[in-house]
Amino acid sequence: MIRIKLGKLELAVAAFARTRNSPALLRTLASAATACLLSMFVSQLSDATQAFEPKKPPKVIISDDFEQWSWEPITFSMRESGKKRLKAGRRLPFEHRGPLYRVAKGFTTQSGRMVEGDEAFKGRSVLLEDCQIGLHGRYSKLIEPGKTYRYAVSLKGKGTFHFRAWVGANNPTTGEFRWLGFPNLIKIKATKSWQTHAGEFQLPEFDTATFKLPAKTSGAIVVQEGHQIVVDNFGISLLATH
Amino acid sequence: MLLWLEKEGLRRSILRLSIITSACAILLPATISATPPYGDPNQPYDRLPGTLETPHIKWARPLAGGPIKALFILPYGDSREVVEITQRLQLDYTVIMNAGHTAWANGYAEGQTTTPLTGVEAKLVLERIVKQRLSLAHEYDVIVIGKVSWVVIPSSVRTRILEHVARGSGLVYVTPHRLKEGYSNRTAVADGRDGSFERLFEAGDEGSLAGWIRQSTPLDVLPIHMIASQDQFKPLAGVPRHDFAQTAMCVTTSRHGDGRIVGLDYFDEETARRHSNSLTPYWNHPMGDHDSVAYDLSFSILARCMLWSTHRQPAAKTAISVSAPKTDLSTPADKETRRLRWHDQVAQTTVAREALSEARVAITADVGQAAFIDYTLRTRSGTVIENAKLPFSKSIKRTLPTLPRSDYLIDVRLLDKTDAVIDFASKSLRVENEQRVTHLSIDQPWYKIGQTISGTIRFARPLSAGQSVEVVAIDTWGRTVAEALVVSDEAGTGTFSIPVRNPLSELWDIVCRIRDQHGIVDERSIAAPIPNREFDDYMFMLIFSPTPGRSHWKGDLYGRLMREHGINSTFTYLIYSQQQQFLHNARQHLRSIAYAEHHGELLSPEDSNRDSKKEQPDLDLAELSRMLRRVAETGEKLNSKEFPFRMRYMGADFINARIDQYKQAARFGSPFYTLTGENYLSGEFDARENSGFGATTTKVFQAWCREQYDNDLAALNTEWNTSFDSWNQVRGIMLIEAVERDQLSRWVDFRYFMRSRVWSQYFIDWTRMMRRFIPGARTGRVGHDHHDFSRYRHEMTCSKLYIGQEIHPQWRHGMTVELPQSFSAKRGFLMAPQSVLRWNYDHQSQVNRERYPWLVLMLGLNGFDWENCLTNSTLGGLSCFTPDFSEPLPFFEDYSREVRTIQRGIGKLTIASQPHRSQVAMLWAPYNHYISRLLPFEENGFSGTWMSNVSVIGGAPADALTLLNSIRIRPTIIAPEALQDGGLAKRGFRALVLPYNKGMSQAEADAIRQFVANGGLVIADNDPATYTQHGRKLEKGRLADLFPVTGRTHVQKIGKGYAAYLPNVINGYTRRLETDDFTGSDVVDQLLRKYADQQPPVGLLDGDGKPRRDVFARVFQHGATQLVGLLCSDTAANQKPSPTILKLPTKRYVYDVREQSFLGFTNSVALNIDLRPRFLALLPARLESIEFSGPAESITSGTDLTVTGKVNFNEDKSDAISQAVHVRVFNPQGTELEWFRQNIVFSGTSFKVHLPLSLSIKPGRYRVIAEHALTGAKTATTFDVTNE
Repeated sequence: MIRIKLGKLELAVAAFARTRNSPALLRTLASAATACLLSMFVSQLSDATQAFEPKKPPKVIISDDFEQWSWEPITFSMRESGKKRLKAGRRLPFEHRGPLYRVAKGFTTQSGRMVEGDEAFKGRSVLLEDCQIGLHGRYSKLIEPGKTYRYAVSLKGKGTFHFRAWVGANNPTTGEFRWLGFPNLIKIKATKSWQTHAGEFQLPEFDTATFKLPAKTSGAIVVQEGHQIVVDNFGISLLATH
Repeated sequence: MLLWLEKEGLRRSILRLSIITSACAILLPATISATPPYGDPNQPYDRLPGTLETPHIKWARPLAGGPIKALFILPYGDSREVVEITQRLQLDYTVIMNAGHTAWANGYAEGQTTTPLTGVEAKLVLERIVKQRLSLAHEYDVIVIGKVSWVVIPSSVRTRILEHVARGSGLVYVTPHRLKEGYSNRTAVADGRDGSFERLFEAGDEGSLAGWIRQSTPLDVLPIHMIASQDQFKPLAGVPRHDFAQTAMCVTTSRHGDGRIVGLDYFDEETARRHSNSLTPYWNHPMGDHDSVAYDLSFSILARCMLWSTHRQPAAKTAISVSAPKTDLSTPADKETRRLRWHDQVAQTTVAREALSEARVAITADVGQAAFIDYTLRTRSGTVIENAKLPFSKSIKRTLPTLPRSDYLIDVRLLDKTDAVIDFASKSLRVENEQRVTHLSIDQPWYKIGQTISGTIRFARPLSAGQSVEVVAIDTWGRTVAEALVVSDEAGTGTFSIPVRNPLSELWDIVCRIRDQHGIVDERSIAAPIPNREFDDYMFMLIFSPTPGRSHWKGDLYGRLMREHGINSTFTYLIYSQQQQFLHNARQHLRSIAYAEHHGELLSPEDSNRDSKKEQPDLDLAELSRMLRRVAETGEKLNSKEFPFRMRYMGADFINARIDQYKQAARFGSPFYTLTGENYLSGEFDARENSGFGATTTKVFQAWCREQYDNDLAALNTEWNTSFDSWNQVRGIMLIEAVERDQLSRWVDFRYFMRSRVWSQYFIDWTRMMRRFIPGARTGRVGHDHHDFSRYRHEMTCSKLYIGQEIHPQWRHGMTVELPQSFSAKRGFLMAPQSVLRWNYDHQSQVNRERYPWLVLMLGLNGFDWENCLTNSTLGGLSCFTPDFSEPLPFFEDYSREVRTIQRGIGKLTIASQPHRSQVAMLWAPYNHYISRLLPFEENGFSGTWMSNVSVIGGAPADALTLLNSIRIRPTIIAPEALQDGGLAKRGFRALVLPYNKGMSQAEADAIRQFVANGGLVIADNDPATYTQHGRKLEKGRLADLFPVTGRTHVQKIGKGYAAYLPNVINGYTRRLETDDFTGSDVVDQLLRKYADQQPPVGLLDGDGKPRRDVFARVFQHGATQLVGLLCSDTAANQKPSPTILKLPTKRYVYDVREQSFLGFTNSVALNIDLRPRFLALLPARLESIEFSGPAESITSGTDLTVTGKVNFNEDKSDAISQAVHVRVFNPQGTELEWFRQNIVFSGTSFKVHLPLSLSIKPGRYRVIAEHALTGAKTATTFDVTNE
């Protein structure tokens, strides 16, 4: 990972693992590719980098600034899981008043807690702790196998930010469904102060001889128990096929 | 039974077995779900036993030259039509069943346990079947495609079909079309043109085949309009296609290689699914009639197409002609249906009745091998008048008998010397007469028993010397039940009167006939409904199924077949103003249950997409209520100028139109009228309510708030956190605004008001309006529980309840049943639902199927319904029969057997009984639903499932009910108003349970306090009275003195009574019980015994003498008879039988009603309980015998016969013993006369069987059999009908 200072902003760049099984090789690859990729990453984040924009712009598929929030009814499954959570002495991962909870625009289920003011990156951000967000709705059916994606995200806090894929597949002969794995496509350790990170990822390769991957796989941001991370400006772009 | 069909069936069975074996090897992982897989005895796909015969003419059967080898490709749901054509044309058939006209393998399916084949299983099974049956190793004389879209048939299959044709097979394509794939697609056609398709199926000329059909089919009287080419087709202007009462028909022919192709186009690809027509044309009779003769003749057209395509058409054609003196008489056409047709269906040949003796029927044929002519003269409706087998000659002339004025058909079949058919033809004939009945009317739309039907008749001219007139009443069983004296005058009019006595059907046809010396000259009839408004027996109702008067051949057949399996009623579409369905039901002896309305705020698909964040002021149910109240008060229709409000189509005009419909509907009985189904207040289903802001609603809300707050605006402001200056400012609030402004109490009040005083009030008002036109009409709902049941005491007391179809319904769904039963007592009519859409829990094992009908009875319901969407496009499933209706599926036979057992008296007796209730009340205050919604993470809610906003399943009240039921203390649910003025004590309650009463008014709290002080027991959980009834949290609970300790179980004496707080004793009990954990039951049981003297009416002890909590028990009382139903929970512990002692308070003679066995005189019954339902009768005396008193009687027709039966008991305590007998009557040939079938509930030692004999009953000895419903004892007697 390479860090660059851009005014108040610290930029971290990473080329992320294609598979979980060859980290050493990939780290080497990542280092080698960093210089080439850096200009492209920066282009998305700052006016200063506009000049580096590639000829064929990446297609933005996620751009979550967590600025707009609304109150929505708490669903049955949220009630059930919330009850268990509270019984276990854990805090709810969202804010609620009566039968409504606050949710960020674009999300169909819980999306963390809204923070604003000094706590926020700018305007409003989202505080995540002990939760996963976006699997249903926001980040579902998002990632195409074999395609390369660019991401950027601003983080601060304690613990690790994951963007994890839920890789399920079907046997076309029998119709049977099976989970093939839950690889982390993005994994970043948050820092006490805000940092913006960027990088690339691809869905790892799986044995698809019998079970075929769907056209697109779902993902979610995951922050584990005991971790507490404020997130903002989470963006994912599909890079043009080379 | 046809032997060849059996052989063919065996062959297909072997083939099917091989497919199953290969498919299952592949499919095992995918078919472990509940759908009965291909080959399962309960999976009807690909099964066509062909053993059910329906009325038909054997047009070409047996066929000279032997059977035609045919392959049919048609939808599964319509495959009965293969059996239909085979009844008429000798075939050796093979069938490939696909999903629908626009679906190959992927048809309609619901959920994971859907009964049709779906997904990979469907694809693979169909692929294998196609591969095997369409293999070129088979040689078919003809392939018939039944309206399956050419583009839906996979290209490889199309190619293979054409390969067969190229080498000589014929191809008949019924309604060739190119609608796109998609089971719900009815109109979208494949893009572009397909030259090959047009050449093969649309472009050929009419040719000799069309001429043959034209010459030999009586098209003039059929709902078929034959055109010469496709471009001649012109739709009927202004008539939706599905309303066409006639079909267009175009026959084209072409060749492909050595094969002949026929395009038999009925232009009905968009509508044929509605009536399950794949080999026959779609038409819709405006009165819903199924024209079985036209249906039969349309198969003769198909037969000709198949014969032509296989080169089996006769060389010379048979012709029928009728010669008669010319007449100027003409037949009036039906003007009302003219716009629905291209031509009037009037016979082109008319013979004057007086010239019939001069008329001659000439039959000409020139076929060498013909030996006989089979000649039939029949009425247009199919009644055979003459049938003769005549020696063949090239020209035969027949005279006609004197016939009544009517339409007739002459059918001719040319037979060879072995009686095989060489050719066939049919011709229509009209017999006309100057004298006729021109008018027949009766004085009332419907009649009560004891009233007199008075009518008037008019004739075309005064009766002549040789003419007489008769008027008779014929019931729907075909019995002549009354004859009227006709008073006629010289001007050609007459009057008559018929008293209505002893009807055994809901309809009498009043028939007026003019006779002369030759017989009937003319006749005319009119229906006189005699509504039967008694519904006191166990109902088994068709719903969303083919049903008489709606579904053409399938509805007609299905209605008749299902009656043999216990079906006795059918959902009737009053909502669509289908009044004719009531008539059809009456004629098919099915009781009508009226689906009257589907009201709510979702009146169009757009209503489901209203902005949930914006107020919707155009929705104003309260204004509609105001309008309804006006009608209820005046009995008059509304003036739309005075009441201009409309909510989409709902307005004065709509209400007025419904009034007209109700007046007509009153002609027949219905146990209740469904006013709403799965319809809701806007946004209610998913907790995004946005209505209640209409002008009238707001005014009513303001008035209600004044009442609630004793006209104290400051009190309201305090409660709501508002600062209104006047009552006029008071209005509802959206939830988001309430959250943001911290005015949740305002929202609780508003939503409770909307449910209770707007939604529920609307249905109360609608009921009162309706009763103006249907006296005593009971109303109710189908669907969820989003109602204030405490308001439904005299209106909306009925329902199809959403219970069952999953495990443990007796526990899980108890609230859904108990709420209406508690509030409306016996004034309701409640049914359970059953459906074949999914392979649900109730279907999954034989014992489950045995349990369900008895569970329904034990719950105190009046029966259940049976949903079969047999017209959906599916690959299998959705049926309880093989698709040809020849065989019921095993799972359905299990249900049917139990239903028919219940329908032999025990059902009626149980329904007439009073259910036992303990002296325990359970408080259900519906505003707590909204308070509970404010507390999403509380331990237990007011309701509990994912549909908690519209359902009462789950939650604390449901848990409390489960617990009380499991200790066999059946409570009565009460509303807050029942607490006032010492209401609990007045009704004899000894204990009150507060499962979820966080919100409580001070008055309620005071009443409860007083109840305890006076000696009552109150049991509570979930912090009762810690909120106001408006939802504001109280600093100190209003019952804090009764429940000072809430952290643990705490009981304290207060005054003469006790208050017990049981934290989490009630909560979660249902879930615990399902896992054989009964924690909490003992403490409640002990409290009720100790402090309220409440003990269960019967005890159940396990082998260790401990009380059983896992057996659902219901006790009913009728006189001195007690009925006890026991249903063991389907838990892990109960998968094997277990010894159980049933403890009774006193010794009783105990009978097992299901087994019809005597268990002893005891107060301790030893049972070995398993999952099978048990139903016991407890009597104070033992039945010794049952007998009919007196010898056989000799009586004449028309007698009102009463036969007396006697029941002998061993003890003289029998006067109060209530019983039932099931009576059947058999004619001299041993056939049951179903109209006399009855269940008689009586008390004491004698019963009377009333048998009103018709005037048309035939002489002979009749046998009456009575079976005692509790013991199974039988007796019989006879009576003789003599011919006077």
